[in-house]
Amino acid sequence: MEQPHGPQQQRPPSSPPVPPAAGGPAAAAADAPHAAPRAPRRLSRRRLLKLGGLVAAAGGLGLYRCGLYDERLLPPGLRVLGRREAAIAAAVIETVLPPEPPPSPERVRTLLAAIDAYLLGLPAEQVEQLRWLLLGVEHGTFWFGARLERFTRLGARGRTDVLTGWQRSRLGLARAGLRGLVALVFLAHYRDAPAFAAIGYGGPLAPGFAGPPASAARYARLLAPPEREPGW
Amino acid sequence: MIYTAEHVRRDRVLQADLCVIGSGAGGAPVAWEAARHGLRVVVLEAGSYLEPRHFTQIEYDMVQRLYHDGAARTTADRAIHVLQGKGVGGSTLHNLNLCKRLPEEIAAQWFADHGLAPLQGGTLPALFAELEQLLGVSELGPAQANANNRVLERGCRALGWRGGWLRHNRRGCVGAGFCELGCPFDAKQNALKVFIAEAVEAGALVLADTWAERLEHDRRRVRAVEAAVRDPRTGAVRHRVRIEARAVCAAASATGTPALLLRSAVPDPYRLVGSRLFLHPGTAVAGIFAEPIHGWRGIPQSYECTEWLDLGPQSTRRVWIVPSFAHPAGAAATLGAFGAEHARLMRDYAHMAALSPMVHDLVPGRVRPRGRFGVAIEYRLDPSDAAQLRLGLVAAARLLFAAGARRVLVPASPALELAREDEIEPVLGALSLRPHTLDLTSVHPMSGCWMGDDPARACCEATGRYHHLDNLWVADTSLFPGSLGVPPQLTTYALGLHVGRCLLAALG
Repeated sequence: MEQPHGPQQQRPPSSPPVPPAAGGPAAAAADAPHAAPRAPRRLSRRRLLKLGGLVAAAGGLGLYRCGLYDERLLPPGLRVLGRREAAIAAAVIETVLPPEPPPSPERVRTLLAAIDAYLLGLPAEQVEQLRWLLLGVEHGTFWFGARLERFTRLGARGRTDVLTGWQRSRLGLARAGLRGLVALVFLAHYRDAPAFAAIGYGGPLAPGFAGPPASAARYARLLAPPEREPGW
Repeated sequence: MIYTAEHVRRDRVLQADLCVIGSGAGGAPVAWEAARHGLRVVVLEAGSYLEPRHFTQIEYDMVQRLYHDGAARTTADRAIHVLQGKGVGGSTLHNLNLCKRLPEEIAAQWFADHGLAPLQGGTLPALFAELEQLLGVSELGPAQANANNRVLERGCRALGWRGGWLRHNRRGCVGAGFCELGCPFDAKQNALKVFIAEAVEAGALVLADTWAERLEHDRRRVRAVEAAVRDPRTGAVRHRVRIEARAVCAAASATGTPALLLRSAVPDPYRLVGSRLFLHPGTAVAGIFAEPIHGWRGIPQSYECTEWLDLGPQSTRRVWIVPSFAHPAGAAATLGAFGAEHARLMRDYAHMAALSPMVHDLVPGRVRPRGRFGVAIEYRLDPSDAAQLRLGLVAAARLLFAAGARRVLVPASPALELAREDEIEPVLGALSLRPHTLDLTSVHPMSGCWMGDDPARACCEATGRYHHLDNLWVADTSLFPGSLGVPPQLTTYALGLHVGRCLLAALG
């Protein structure tokens, strides 16, 4: 298995010489004229354990930062948002809605489902931008709120601080992004009587009104019968 | 008849005399004029066919159906929302019915810069008079004013500023106040009701949910329009439709028309198409009053302040101010607050009045296609236009305080609150107007494929015919050579009717 190695020996003869590595004792030693070829180090048990520990720690950190989402607030049948995005959106909803009374899990699920349905009709590019925005909220907690934990793991106060960081950011796009999220949440929120009542809004003047009968008949006549296909 | 995505079950080829792309204030009169004179007309409309019974008066339901991109369309830098309507009837389904004629100063400027002989003399006044009759335009007065409009009227009176009642196209209005979500009471005399319905009754064929994708041409004439029938809920393409017509009229808006022409690589030797786009950028300023305003009730815009609007050349007053009350989701989005701060601001919702300063912008942006169906709008607020916006913010705040507001909110990030009138100048004077500082919105995109006699300086003739293709016509706000300074609805209808008649004469 052992074979002589080193950059000079592995290069084909026509290759230009590799310039010496800049700085570093290891680089200097490798290029020293009298350096003897070294045998590769064997992976000792101790090193193996260290490496395993490091991999496990990195995996744990990765899982902590990017996995293990609480899915209790997620409604079934989401068509646009993935589970992780939906969990982040749920945390955003909880933070954006008025805190008193705190939104119930059922309310958050209802709003999530409404937002998901709304996104279904948006151009794919905008939905993609929203996905990145949600990931930015989730993992940008240090930059926007001086927090080490991701957004979904923060308490209410921490989440508010992070979104405030977005709102007051010097980055115009961050402010615009936060505005977009806020708009989406309130579009889904202000569509029923309890939400209307909380701000003294009257809501629809005549809910379910089917239009003046005379004009309804005229509009119905304009529409082709269901079985008919377009043509002359 | 009107057909929706449900009616189209396979790819189709249709032959017609005229294909009109877009059914709003520009395209509808063209279709009407052609259909009632016996031409076979196909109208393509990207939005759905919505009847009064579909208008639920709920923002969540209607915004998606009435506005392109679910009202999330913005300029490329995300700094300005660009609200553009869709649906059979176009933006006239959701607009606020304002009917102002093309101002004489603007017309004079257009004629001086671009000739436009067929529109000079008595042509435009005659078109306006005819349309005002057709659309049932009448002036509103104090009896129809809601509390939000009375705030503006009171502010103007207190400051001695110029203002007046607006003219609208409504009949049988009950003052529900849901105009921007579609009128369930069918009081709007919109393009669907006045023109498309009659065109259909005269034999026109309307394809809703159908997006014109490309014009097939041989660099001399357009041979066909390639279009896609899309699922109105998901946007998925279901079928393709090809319309082979003797003439094509693009009326897909000031962004949609140039994007379609560019996507189709029409001859454009001077690279003009899409290179000019005005937006009338505006924002909202809210005042909190002691008495209830209930701004959501009644006709949203019946009074205007024109003290800061002078449309002459070299004008230093280019701001038009109107009431701009929004329903809860719109108001919350404009204020931009969340959590406890949102709750605090919205506690005063019933006591809130809002005014909107809108800038007659002089420095254009540009528009180009994005993907198969989208548009990319590149527009940066020029410093001179930003200065006008600041002028408008200050004026709106002064009007609100003069009318008795206890405090004034400006939709910055976060919202600014002014408790006294003497805070206006220092706070708003110091406010940065760089992109994303204020919540800015455009509801009047204009130009993009403008008219003028010289093919080296304009895209279309004064008749609406595109300079470089024999049978392509344009009939929407694209035709405006510049910003209008006032709401464009009536001028768009007038140009649509004018183009329709020129087209009819050309087709024989």
